[in-house]
Amino acid sequence: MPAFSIAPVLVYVLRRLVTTIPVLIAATFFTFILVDMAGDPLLELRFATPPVPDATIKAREEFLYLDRPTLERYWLWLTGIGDTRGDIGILQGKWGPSTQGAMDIGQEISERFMITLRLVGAATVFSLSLAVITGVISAVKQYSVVDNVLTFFGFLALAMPVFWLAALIKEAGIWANQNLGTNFATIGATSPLYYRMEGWDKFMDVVLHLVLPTLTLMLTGYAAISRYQRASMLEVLNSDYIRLARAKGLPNRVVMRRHALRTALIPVVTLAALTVSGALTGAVITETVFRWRGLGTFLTQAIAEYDAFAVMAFLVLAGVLVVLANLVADLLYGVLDPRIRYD
Amino acid sequence: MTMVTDPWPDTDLLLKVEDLTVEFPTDDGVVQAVRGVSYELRRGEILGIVGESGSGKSVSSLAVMGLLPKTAKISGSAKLQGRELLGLSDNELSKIRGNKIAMIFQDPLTSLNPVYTIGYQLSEAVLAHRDVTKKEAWDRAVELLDIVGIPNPETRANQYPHELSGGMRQRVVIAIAMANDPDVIIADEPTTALDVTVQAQVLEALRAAQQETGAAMVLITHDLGVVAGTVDRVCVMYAGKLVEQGTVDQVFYAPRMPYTLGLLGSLPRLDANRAHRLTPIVGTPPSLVNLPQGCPFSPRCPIVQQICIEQEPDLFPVGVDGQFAACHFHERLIGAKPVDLFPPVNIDEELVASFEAAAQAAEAELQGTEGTHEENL
Amino acid sequence: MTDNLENGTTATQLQLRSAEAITTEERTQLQMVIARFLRHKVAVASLTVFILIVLFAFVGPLLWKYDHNIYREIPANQPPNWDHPFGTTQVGHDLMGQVMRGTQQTLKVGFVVALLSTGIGATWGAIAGYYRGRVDAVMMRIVDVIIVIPILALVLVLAGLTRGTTWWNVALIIGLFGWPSTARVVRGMVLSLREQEFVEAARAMGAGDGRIIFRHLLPNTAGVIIVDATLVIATAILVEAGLSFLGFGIQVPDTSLGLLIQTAQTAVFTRPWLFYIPGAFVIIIVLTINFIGDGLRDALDPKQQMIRR
Repeated sequence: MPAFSIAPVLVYVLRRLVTTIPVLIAATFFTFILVDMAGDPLLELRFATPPVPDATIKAREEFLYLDRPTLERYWLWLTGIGDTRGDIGILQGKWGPSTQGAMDIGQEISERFMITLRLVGAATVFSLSLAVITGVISAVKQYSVVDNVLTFFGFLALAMPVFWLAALIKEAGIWANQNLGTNFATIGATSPLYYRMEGWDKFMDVVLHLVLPTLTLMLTGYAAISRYQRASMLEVLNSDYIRLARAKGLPNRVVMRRHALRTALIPVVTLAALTVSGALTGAVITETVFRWRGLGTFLTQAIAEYDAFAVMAFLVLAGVLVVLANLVADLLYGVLDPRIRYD
Repeated sequence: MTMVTDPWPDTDLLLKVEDLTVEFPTDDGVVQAVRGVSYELRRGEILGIVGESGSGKSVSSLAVMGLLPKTAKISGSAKLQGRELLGLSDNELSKIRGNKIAMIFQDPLTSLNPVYTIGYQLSEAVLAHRDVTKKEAWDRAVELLDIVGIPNPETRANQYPHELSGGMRQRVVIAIAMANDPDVIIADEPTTALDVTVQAQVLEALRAAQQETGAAMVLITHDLGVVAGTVDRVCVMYAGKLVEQGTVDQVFYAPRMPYTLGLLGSLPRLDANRAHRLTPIVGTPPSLVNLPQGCPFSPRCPIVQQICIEQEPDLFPVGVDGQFAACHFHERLIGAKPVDLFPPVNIDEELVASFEAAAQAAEAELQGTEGTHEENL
Repeated sequence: MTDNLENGTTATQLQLRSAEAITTEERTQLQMVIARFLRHKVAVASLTVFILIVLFAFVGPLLWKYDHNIYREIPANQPPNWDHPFGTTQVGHDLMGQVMRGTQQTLKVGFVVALLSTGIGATWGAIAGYYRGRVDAVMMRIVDVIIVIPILALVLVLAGLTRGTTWWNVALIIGLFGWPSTARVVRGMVLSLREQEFVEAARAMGAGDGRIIFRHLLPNTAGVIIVDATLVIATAILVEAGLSFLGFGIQVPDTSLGLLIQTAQTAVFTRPWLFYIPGAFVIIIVLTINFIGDGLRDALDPKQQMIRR
């Protein structure tokens, strides 16, 4: 193996992060303007009957920093410079005030993030695995019955609305619980008694709650990657170096594992970021159907309540996640493909 | 078999291909890529297979190696030292491939796996057939790189394919082919994808490989120049069939099939005088789907007769020792020159005229700079 | 060509001749594409089904006696029968009337998004790829910005802006954010196309940047754009359904397939027709569009059907 030095990789990571920050900031500015245009959270208060005293409305405006013009409010949200209570400024780790009562956005979102992470993580791992397996089988057995069946199911999965599948799986889970004696949980991320459980029980509770939503997200997410894996594998299988590997006299399974699969996996890695982004989008809907208190319901609630800073918190978190997933994918690509160099 | 016999008897006849047929079913009908090809390869011999692209020359050797896709329908026989190769399972074939019979492919840029070092890919070939340690295989890999003329083989072995030039990569592929001292090496257009300057080096590496291993070689090419300088016997393929077979001298100087004659006529030659005109063959090779009966060359043949359209000729012995030709009228071709059959077309003359004018102008300019101006060149 | 110029052929004549050549060339190419598409049996079947669904959604309401509104004479909770082939709801909708309307709205959203999003995306990508350098860097950075954020979240936020949303608003919102992937693909193609001789030739004939981009570069990416558009339609329909499901899409009293499923999601077992029929429509629409796109890809890219050595 050639000498592998870590320095260029570190430089690459730093440079990537540095160039990503302006993109993220621009994205937040853009969405901030959109969210700000979305509506006035105090509308109901202003036209309430009987009328609310002006002082109350003014206090609310001040609390939500609505007394300042949009651009200043964005600057405030970003940096926290010029705030009145020290509760705002994303760069200082402060998320801003919420319209939803006394909710602390930072605390709420980190709790919910851990819940959603469980779902998104499991779904990403399972859908990638399923995609690679089905894609490879499809490619190796190209145009066979197996390939046609897998292809058809792939297209079917691509065509299914997440919530339709989620509702179907949920109802199927209920049916199985009633008729087959299974124990899938269909509501929530954990059972209400979760906090009293310990060790194994706790773990099983989480798993039983995860099964159905993960299945939903896995089925809606795997198909696109599977198609991609199939194409990538086919390209490799038809390549000259596979023919040469066979001409060398390597047994078929060695050719498949060492030369075909190893090389065909590389381009699929770039899709990992897409998978995370897709799983996040899917999670918003899946969590609604399965009534999880995760990021998805956090977002829909925030939108319904015109909670600008909460919406921003979600978008920042999602953006950072996708950017990080992208970076990890690029680094993996470099490890897997010697042609990629960090310079 | 009850008797224990040596599975690889040391025979003079290494490879015997008989009536090899390859068909591919497609949406448009059955592609008859190879239609009954027979040839023999003896120890130490280099056999050239010549033909246009799509004539079936690559497909026929891939069929022998068992490297065609599963959709291909293969029939006939291909015996390596008396042992039938066609119909063997992929597993059995993999013990023979790279060991007894090796293959070199056309495009060196895509023939090596981009994610493994060349040393790894070479020692992998050694390890596939020999019970040696990884270290020994690696040493053998370095040694092989040295044999095919790669400088600094120890360093090169640790590099990835993209770090090597096309010519060097092709030499690596040749090294892989000779890794296990095969008896037969099939080289499929080994120089086509390379620059002319590199071609000579690669041919040299091929020769080194052949001498080192003592293997017989099948050299597939469309480059008659490569054939003339390298091989002992030549097979000419057209539309999936052999149409002429003989020694280099027989085929190059006394061809007995109009297609061979046409091929030779379209080859620019340095040894010919200015009056030598290129004589292209008009038309294109036939589609291999639903070939009509009769000689497949008949639509392009200048001496075509009724019988050619009705009946496809077999490979007849032409009366000279070891030469065969698939033409009803091979006797009429004794002593024929390409210009006798294929007229140089108009465009040719214009081109030649323009080239000559350009040459004259260049010459005039050259002389002008030297100060001796001549008006009438 | 150069010979003709030297022989005194005027530029206009030349242009005429090349234009002629191009149209005849295109016609044969189009015929080839159609022939190849027709060979793709699943795609042809999908196209047929898709056309039937379009007719169902746009012509159906003219012929069917109920629309998507509530009628007092409609009996509640009827499973599919002769009077109500798709059954009825609890409050007195005829589901077939609702599905017709919902499919129509869903399809309209899909088509408008496809036009908008491929239009913006193709232009954006072509301009970035054509000018390269700084322009490209800035334009592609903007694409990065939009891609960073999960599309549903973006659309959700914007949909909050227009509560009481119509199909037109939904289509605008999805279309405004659906184009970045198209832009990337088109930019990639234009980057390589712009190096080809015909661009040089067009420039030599005095064509301006705009003409080169819209007359020479974009038409050459048409194949990719068409295939991409089918994907965009499919995605748009799913996003619209998701929006309606979350309550931020098309609003009652209008309806869409997403909204119909949302209303029926607790009735999977009690009144299954309410859940399965609209769901089946979404699936069949998206499925057929994807298959049509697949067939188009094969038809437009002959490389894919070539038998490898």
